Amino acid sequence: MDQVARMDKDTRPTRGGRRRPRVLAAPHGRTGAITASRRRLRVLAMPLLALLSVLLIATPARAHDVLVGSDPKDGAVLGTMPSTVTLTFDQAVRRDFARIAVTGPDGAHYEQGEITVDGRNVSIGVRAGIPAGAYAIGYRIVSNDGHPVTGAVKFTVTGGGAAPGAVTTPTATAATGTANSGAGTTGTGTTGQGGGSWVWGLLAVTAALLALCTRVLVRHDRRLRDGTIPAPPAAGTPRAASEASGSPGSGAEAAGTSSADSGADGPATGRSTAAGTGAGSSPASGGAA
Amino acid sequence: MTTTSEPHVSAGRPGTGTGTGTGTGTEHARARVPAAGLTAGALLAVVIATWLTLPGRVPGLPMPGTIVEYGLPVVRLVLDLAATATIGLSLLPKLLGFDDPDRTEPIAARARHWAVLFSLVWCAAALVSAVLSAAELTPGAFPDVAAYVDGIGAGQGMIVSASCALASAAVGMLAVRFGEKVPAELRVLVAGFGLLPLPVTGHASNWYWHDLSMVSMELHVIGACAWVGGLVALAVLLPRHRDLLARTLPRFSRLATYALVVVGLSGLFNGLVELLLTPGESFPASLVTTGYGRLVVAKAVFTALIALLGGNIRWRLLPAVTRQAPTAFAAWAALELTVMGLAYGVAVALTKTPVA
Repeated sequence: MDQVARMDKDTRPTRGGRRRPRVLAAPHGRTGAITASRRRLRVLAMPLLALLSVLLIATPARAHDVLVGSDPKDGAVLGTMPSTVTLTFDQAVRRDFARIAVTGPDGAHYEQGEITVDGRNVSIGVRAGIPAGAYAIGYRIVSNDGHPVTGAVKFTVTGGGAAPGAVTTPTATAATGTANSGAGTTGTGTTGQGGGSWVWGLLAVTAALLALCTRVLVRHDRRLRDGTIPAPPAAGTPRAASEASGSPGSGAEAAGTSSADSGADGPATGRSTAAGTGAGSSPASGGAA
Repeated sequence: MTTTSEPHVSAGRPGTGTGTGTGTGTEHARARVPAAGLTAGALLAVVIATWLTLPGRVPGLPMPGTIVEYGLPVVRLVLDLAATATIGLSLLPKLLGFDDPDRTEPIAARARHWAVLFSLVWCAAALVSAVLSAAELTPGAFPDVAAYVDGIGAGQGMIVSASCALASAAVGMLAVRFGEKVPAELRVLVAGFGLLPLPVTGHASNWYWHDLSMVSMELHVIGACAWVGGLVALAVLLPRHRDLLARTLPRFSRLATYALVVVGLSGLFNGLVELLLTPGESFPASLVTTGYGRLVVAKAVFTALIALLGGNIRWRLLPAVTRQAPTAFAAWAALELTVMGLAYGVAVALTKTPVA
């Protein structure tokens, strides 16, 4: 609102609703060319400014993780099932959202225990007493750039029965290890960059800003209708007013009638000034008429 | 969306009839062709590209449903297009110039209305996109949006983008009421800030090249939005006003030339770096053997096509347009925008597709 007031002050001597009307020849003229290049500079300045802020916003590397290896390897034929299976990615893996399932020839789940993340390695225990046949390790991890990375590693176990000495991992508890698709996670992998919840605050602030703008405009237009401030001479103003109050986001209209807020005076004053300068001062109604 | 905007449009029309337009129903329908081409091309490309690069089933794990698999790219596309339209419409006053408010004001007023609307669409798309992205990570469970946003940069990026879209809508509403007294630069800047978090939601290639490729992606996004947004604003709002088009198109043409160079180079850089640095794929072959490589090739082809079509407008139509002679500008722009839409659709799929 403050900004509006200031802007309106700047524009007091304008006509036609533009801040600094430039009395210029056609754009082909020499003056036009100079001004055009200056404008172009300003247009170029914006991306540069944006780039500066990128460097502030830019967070540590977030890249797409790729599976580079596994134990057992894809397509391997093993005599016995190892007690754990491990997937190796090209970068440290986030431990949140990671899921691994080991599916047997009968379609049952054979993973057990919790997922352990150690740097680039993600592993999970395998149940003892497995049948021989084709197995598949299905995985879904969340890549560092926030994308899900999914895939499967297939291998075959020839030796039936439990691997001798295939002891389950110490942390494993049989209760959690049974056929749940994807177990919980634990370990020392890349922790999620938590603390991103501040963005909700930003969203709330901008939503409040939008509501405030709507309210100021609604109040302003209501005053305009009530004749508290002189209406600009342009035709069709009531329509413009009703249109503005009916514009998207009019949910904030409900807040319109409560207390008098001094901020609303900013645009109101500016408006009456603009109205005083006369013709063509109502660009919005110009669009509506 | 259409229903909300309809009153503005129909109310704005008689005022805009000051130019050469006759204001018949056919004329109105024709004015929408460029926007329709952009949207249709983009939708077509995103659905096909998503279908081609759909990840295979993972044994033993639940997969995201069809709604998430196709909904997420489509919503992301809506976000991109709405952001592009917002940028383009905010940029339009700069292209129109301020020398002749009496003639430009009706057009600028319509642009301001639409800019507010597209900002709100942008915000909604960003929020829906955050929900769908969260659902994509935890299929079979209720999407935990709070955890997703808290832990994952892409989620934060989406919410920041939605916030900027809201701020853009707020500034845009002030502009609807107070006209060009709310500077166009401010509107472009606020909307432009909303673009900055978007590359974070794609994949920056590699630890070592990260900073450079981030900057390059930002340039890519900003350039594409200014270019496509500017053209769609011109093609939808201006073809019936030859006098205004004669002044505006040369300015846009310069902008488009810069944008072509920036977007082309940065896109090439990002795509090739991504392909080169992904382990397990040998480079020249991965252009055709991987889904990512094929999408990069498709986008390069589209960019070349756009450059040709843009060159056609620049060299063949522009002289006639500046003479205010009747030209087929709208038709050519619609064709160019359709190809741009195809590139947008591929771009959305590209941000989601892993190389390997």
